[in-house]
Amino acid sequence: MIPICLYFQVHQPYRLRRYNYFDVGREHRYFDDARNREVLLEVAERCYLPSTAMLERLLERHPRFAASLSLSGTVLEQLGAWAPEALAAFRRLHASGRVEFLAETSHHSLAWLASREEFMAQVALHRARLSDAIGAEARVFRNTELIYSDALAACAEELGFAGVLADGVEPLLGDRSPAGLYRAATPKGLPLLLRHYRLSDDVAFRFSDRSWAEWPLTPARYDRWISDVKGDVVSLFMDFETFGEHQRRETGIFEFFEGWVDFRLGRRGARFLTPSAAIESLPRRDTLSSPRLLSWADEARDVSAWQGNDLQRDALGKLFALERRVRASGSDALAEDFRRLSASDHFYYMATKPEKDDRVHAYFSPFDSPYDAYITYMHVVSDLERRLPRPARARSLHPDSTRPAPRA
Amino acid sequence: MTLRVLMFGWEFPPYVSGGLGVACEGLVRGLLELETEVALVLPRRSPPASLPNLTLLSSADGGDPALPRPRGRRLRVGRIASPLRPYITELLYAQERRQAERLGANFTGNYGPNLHREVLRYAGTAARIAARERFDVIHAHDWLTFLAGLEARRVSRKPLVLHVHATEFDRTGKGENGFVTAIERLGLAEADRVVAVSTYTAELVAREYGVDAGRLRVVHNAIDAKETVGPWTVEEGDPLVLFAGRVTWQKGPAYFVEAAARVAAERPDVKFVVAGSGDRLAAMMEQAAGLGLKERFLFTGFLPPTELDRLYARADVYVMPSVSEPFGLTALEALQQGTPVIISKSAGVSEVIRNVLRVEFGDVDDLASKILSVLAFAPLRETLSARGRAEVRRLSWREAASQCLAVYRELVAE
Repeated sequence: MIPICLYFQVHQPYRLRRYNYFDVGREHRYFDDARNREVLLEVAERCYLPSTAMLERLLERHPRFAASLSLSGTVLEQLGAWAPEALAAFRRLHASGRVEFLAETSHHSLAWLASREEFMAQVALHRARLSDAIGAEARVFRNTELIYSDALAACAEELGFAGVLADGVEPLLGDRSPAGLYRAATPKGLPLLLRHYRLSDDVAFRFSDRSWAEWPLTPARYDRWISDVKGDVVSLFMDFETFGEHQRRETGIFEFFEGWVDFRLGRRGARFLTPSAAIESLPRRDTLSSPRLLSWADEARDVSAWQGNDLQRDALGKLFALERRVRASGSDALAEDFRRLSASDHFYYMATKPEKDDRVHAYFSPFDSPYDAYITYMHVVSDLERRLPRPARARSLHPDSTRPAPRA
Repeated sequence: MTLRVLMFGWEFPPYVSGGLGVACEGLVRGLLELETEVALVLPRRSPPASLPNLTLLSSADGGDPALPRPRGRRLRVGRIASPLRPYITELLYAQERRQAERLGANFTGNYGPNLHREVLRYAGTAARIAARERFDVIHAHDWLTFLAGLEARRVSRKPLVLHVHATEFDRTGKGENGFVTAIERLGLAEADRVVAVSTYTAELVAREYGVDAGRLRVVHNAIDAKETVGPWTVEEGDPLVLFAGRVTWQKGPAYFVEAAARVAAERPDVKFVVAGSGDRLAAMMEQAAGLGLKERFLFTGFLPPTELDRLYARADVYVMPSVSEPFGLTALEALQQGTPVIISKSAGVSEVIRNVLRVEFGDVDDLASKILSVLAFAPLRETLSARGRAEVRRLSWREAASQCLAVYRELVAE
């Protein structure tokens, strides 16, 4: 039977407060602490607590059950401050020895698109936060929103990771199946695990959609689809918030998922693998290359969800134009604000996408429109700039930068 | 089957003082494209229409208009000798009457001594027209024609559609004009269908006038594609922030001036233009002067559409800070010229367009910040302009008219 590799992403950003032109130079608190706490508590109640409890039950019932999680540095910090009982639940999952924790950037950021130096710094910072909060050492890397390219894989290899995750999309796979362990186009051929996006999105996006021909999805039917896949592994990667938040409890998502794991592990030879176990045990297939940036977001599965329009590119450019000066300031407070502003979420809210994608963006956005998201962000960055010591010279950019090259 | 519509309207281009005339023309054009016959009844005051395929039919003097039977024409216009017009108030009516009498015009005899009586007299004339016309459905726009619509229905027993472009609640905030509100209540209670120009207005009509959902429909206003003013015809100069439309309480002119004061304090180069007039114009001028903004404001008075288009194209941002805006056609006109738009959240137009900035009415701080943001961030200005223009291109009066036609067909089928 084909093994299953589960990975769930856990993330909450620091959303910006209402901040306008007249706040610049006067108000240096940028984040809506009350709202962020409220959202975290809501999501902990609806998702983190019941979902970790579900995983604990499955681990207890099934010795062959395993999964992986990736928690952004910002959600680790928020859980520690506002929902310590949920953080404790994640620690218990780690203690089970059968839940792997993955590496990412500390601030769920777009740093890879703007600065290799900042990217490396945030990966190191995440390593420290994960170790402090959970006690885990990550071996496998996943970049923000599965943003991926050959250069990203090479960087992960240099940083000593045992493997990397990406979405199983055609630009990377050609006509190959996502159901296998591949090699990245890096000097040492870093192991590459690919999301089976159709089967992942059946749960993450379509599960409660009553206009979907397959609604209501049952564990047995879903398991049949999985069993039909030819290959070495089916990788189901999705937001952890799928359980109880994006798909509310009333949709039956918990019963469905737990029922499916029970169903599958009730059959002989069924296995769940952590990413590390998959990398160690599965045969390695072809080398896959994508010089172009890919991700798991939107229909386009590229970086257009965060860098698809002029507003988004302008905003990221304005922020990273301050990078050197933030670092030179030596101020932890400035660095933390800068990094919170590098989170992909802020740029996601500024997207101006066609209807279908736009509904998903709007679902996540605390703003009335992408324009409000941009305006708020730009005024905050203006204020951050005013707090910085004198300017420094522009630096060179690395190959995946989506920023316009600095003028000579 | 070709449907015949007896329509009671108020203004018709090119001489319009508000969105009602524009909307009325758009719907009539759209209906004609859809093979519908329209007999349009207008007050005599409105000047001759200038549509290419519109024929103005003469109306007899003495408030006894004759509407000849259709002969190959799908649109005919009849006129009732009446000084009524859509934005008139009791006071204005009395003033104009006195003025006309001084000038020796035949503003006597058949004209009512006050607005109330005039509205009733108009309705009586409508009944005589309806008695000799052939039509399948009656369609009347806003309170001044509601009674005419009811009278036409009484004598013809044809179904009545009342189209709500604005209510007394929008105009005054409370629906406090007893006479107007009473006519609105009567009409809306009696109509076979009520068409609102937005969901915003439909909700207001349901809430304040108790119109049940079964009779209530939403048909959003629209705009038809037209030549936009080329940037080469637009002179360069200081950044320009524009307010256009009737200067009345409903349009929030005071918020515009307050926001302008904050913008002016940050940007010494910015100018503010007010295109339009109304009963709050003098107060608006005084307010601007009182805030030391005399040199920064330009009041143009009422502008014809082509000049207004040039002004939209020249402006850096168009602001519509309305307290209550059933629709807000000027937002579409500005977007059509590629001008970024800031509108109040209390505006129906935001149900059909997304590429605008929105503020809570009265939130002057947010309004000023957004004006300054549009002026400060070029990518924002360019994105709002390009996407806004593309978005209004998708709208058409033909689509709005086809939704009205669907409402007529529902009624005729009953």
